Amino acid sequence: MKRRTVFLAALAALLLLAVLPLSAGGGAEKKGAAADKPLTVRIFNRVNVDVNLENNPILAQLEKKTNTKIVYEAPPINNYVEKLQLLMATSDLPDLIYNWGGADFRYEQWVKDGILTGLDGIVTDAAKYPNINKELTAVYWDSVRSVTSGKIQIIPRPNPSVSIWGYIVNQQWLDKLGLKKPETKEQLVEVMKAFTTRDPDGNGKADTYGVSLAGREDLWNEIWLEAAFSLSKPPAPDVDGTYRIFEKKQNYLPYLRFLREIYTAGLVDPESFQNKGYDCWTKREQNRVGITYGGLINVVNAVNQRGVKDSAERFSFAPVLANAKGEHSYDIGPSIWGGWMIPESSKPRLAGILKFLDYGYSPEGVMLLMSGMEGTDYTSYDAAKKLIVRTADQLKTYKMHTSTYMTLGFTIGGYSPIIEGADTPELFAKFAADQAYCIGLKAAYREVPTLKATKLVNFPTQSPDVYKKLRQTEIEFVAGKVGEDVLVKYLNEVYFPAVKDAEDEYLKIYQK
Amino acid sequence: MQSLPRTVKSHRPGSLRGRPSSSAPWQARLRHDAASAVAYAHKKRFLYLMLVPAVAYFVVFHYIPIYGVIIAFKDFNFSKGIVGSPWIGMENFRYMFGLGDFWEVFVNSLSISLLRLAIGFPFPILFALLLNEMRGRTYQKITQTIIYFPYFISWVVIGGILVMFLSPSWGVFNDFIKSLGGKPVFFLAERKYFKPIVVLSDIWKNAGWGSIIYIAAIAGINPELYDAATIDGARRMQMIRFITLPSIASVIVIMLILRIGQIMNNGFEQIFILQNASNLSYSEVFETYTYRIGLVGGRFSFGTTVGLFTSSIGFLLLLAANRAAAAMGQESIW
Amino acid sequence: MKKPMKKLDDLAVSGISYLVMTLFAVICLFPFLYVISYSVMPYEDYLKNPMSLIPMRVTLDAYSRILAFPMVWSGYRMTAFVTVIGTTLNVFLLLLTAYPLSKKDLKGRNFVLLMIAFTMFFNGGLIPNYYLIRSLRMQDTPWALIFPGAVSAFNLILMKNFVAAIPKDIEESASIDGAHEFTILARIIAPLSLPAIATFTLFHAVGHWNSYFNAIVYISRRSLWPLMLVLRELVVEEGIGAVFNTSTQYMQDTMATPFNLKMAMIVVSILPILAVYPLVQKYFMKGLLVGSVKA
Repeated sequence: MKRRTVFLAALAALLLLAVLPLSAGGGAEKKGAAADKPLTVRIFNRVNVDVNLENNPILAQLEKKTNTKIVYEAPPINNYVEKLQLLMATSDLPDLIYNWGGADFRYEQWVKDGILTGLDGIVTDAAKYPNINKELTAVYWDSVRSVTSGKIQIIPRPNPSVSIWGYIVNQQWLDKLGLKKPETKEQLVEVMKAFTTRDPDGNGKADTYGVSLAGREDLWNEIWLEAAFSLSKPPAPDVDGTYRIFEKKQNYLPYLRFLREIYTAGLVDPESFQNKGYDCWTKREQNRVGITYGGLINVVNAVNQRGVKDSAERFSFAPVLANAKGEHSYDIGPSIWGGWMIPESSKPRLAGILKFLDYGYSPEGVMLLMSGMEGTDYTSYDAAKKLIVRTADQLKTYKMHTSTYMTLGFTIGGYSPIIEGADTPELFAKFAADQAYCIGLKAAYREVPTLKATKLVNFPTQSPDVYKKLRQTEIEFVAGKVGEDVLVKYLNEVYFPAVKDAEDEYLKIYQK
Repeated sequence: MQSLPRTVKSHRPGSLRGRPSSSAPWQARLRHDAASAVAYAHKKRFLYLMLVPAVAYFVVFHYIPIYGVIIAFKDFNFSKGIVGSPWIGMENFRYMFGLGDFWEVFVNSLSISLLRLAIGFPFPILFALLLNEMRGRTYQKITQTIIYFPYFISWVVIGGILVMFLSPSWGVFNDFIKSLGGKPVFFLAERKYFKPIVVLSDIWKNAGWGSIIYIAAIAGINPELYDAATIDGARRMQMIRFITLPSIASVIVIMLILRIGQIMNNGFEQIFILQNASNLSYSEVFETYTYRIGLVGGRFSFGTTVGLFTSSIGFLLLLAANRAAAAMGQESIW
Repeated sequence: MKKPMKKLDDLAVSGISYLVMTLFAVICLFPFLYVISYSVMPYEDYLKNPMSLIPMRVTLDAYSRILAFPMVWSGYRMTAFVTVIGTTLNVFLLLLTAYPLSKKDLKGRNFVLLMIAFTMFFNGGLIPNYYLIRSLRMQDTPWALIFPGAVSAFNLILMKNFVAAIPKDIEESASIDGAHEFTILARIIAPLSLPAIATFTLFHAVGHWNSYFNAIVYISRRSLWPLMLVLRELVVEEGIGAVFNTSTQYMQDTMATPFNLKMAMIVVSILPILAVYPLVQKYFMKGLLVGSVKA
């Protein structure tokens, strides 16, 4: 007994010595701010685990270029939102705080409680902050204007418009069955029938389906299908020019009926509603379903990001299905990937912080954080072709130094400087081919400012049970568990009365 | 060195020798009680000393922060903090009870948990008893270690395996059913299968690890009892009934009481993995409900409100169970 | 004198126990074999056949990727430190506190137990705890992972039970001999509670090994992340951690971890426990009380 105690004590002492340097007090910050001394900028961001934030050469370069001292905190990605909420509830906030949801309901609550600083007229000053204002146009600013305060209190990180939404299909299956990428919903049904009945993976079992829906407890993730019915989430007039709330649009019920038809006909993966996260994509990659939603970059992107080495050989991208007018188009709010908030407590240093952020939105800053430094993280970059070339070793170093998650701004001239994932000429060629196909179909999208009717925006927060129940009933209807009468009854008796107030305000704003 | 026998302590005339009668003034009685309390504490000083670290721990790390529960009674304001936020009394609770599906969630939580208790609770005990009856030492050790494995594999994986197995399109169970000529069953979307799946998978994952406490309890039984019984010609079943079980009865009762206190809790991960949008009406429990409301919007203090509600019920049940156990002559918590 | 009936009966009990436990062990072995099998399978093979148990090709690629990741090693160090120090503190406090609480006649004992049980149900939540750790200057240090949770109310109640089960006569004979409580605790109670001590050592050690939540709340520096947190991040569990209010926005966030990497991660986190467990197992064997009453 005694020897064991001694042994354990020695082991503990050894470990203590090993970790002592680490445990000596938590992150001593040097709050320096003499006139010519570098400005300390504290960042709170959502960064993947591969990036090594200590002694990071990219951050060092960033500090040099902006004359700042960066204190970087990046909590675990899986729990980012919880940590963020905890952070916002305590005092001593960092200077630049990344909100993953952009101008979402959490942002609105923080605005309401007055902890974020207002940026109107300040950040929009193109003379002082040219890069930010070059990348963020009026449409972006309008989208993030708070419905509570009417002010801009978050700086969005624009999502590049090189990519568009559509669907991803198993090209090998199409080729094997002699089919073409469907362009209308009727053609889609034919292709789905073929996928489901003609055993495209050749294993002799009837275990393949046409489509797997994204699931995630909400039907409205299939832009490529919804576009065929001219249903879009951002506020836009209905097909006949009138403004209506989403659930009252003319094609709302027809769309749900269509989904129900294909689901009950067995063309859709019956476990779609079990899907969480990107399970639907995994099923496509496992050759269980032929089609899922996706973006133009997601075919080549999957090689590195998802580890699917033959993604470019197996899959193809196609734009949204044609609507009644034969157009392959959809409406979407300006794409942003989160945004940067600056707390009221950092207001005295606002000018310096924005200047720092502005560098992050400049072409140089964007490239630095997105791709790393030439020589160590990549071999060459062709801006015209958006082609970046890396060796395998450089890929390893790059992953440790930075990633797209580290970027402050994301676009140069409104577009992404690289095609993410297209690291090799072959992948690049695949991307170009898919893109050409889209251009051939005149696929397009319209950037529409997102909803600014306060009550309608806040409706899910105010009445989460009604909102959730509606989404659930829609799913049960599509899955064939309840009849249309149940859905309509719920809409008429519960949902529409509950949303009436918000609806009136919405119509007042948009029907001017 | 031998000290004086401990029964003879500080002598203060008139203090320990009998309490003043009730006709005496209350100051005298108070002084007497205080004196005997101090004397008692001094006598048991080492025992109280031993309690100091743990009590200090609970005070610092549990009771000092406990003011946070008042968030449930406040309209939380991020800039004013917990203390400064406006008080709204029971408003959060009224809101919670008024939510359309709240009672459905309540019933689901309770029924799933009760089922898990009723069916799942005995299994670790059973396994401990059976392991104890295995004579081959090495085989017993190996089996014992193997049954712990699922505990270490997260629900995401075990649930993922289950979802795959039960899949109507790709799962082995349905392949088997199909080969017998039947139609595939979408197990996770059927009300009658969901709860059994939850209970059985819970046993699969946790019963092995849960048997450790009972194995330890059995290990503490004096082997002479078994020897004596063998000499008397007792059979194994009798030994289990009359020696093993009674000896670990106190552990079983305590575990049961503690478990009853947890009746409003179901693990988040297990239920979440097995849920899908079409079975929510019978699969939604408090943990997943708070999560979903939090995703869509909802109040910041919603989670705390729900937690306070379920905890209060759990605590009351624990008190009741403890009282019942004591009344039945069993070992209880206090 | 063994009657033939008894032999049959005993055989039945033996037989049933072997049968049932073997069956259950097989069921429990399956997910483990599944995990190991897929951890050495190349991802493409998994995609082609997610249900087969036997890998066609074997590759240690997933393991080399995990172990080559520098944060895994800092995670191991941190977790080892917290587990050793933390478990020692846990078990020490358990034994120290369970002894006085096991004495039914100790005045105030019931109040203390009530106060402890109360904390199992009610706690202040993240914000006050965060403030507390910050004012104790434990934030961003390993101590924030050791002190909160130093005493588990649940385990304490169980431990008190185990200690109370020790026959009183041993204690009484010692105290008559003039030993005071600390001596009794160290020389008599502790050795007789070895199964309980072993059990709770195991529980707490495994608990520390698998824990990550406190690190999320109290630790900022990545170099101090415990192993489990690092591994969880490596295998981005996007299903639960994701925020999908307008899921179509997040074209960038499609990072997914190949399935075989997730499996390798599980193996990497279980192995040390499996290595240590056999050392503890012998304390669960019977016969420890032999001779102690007489001594």
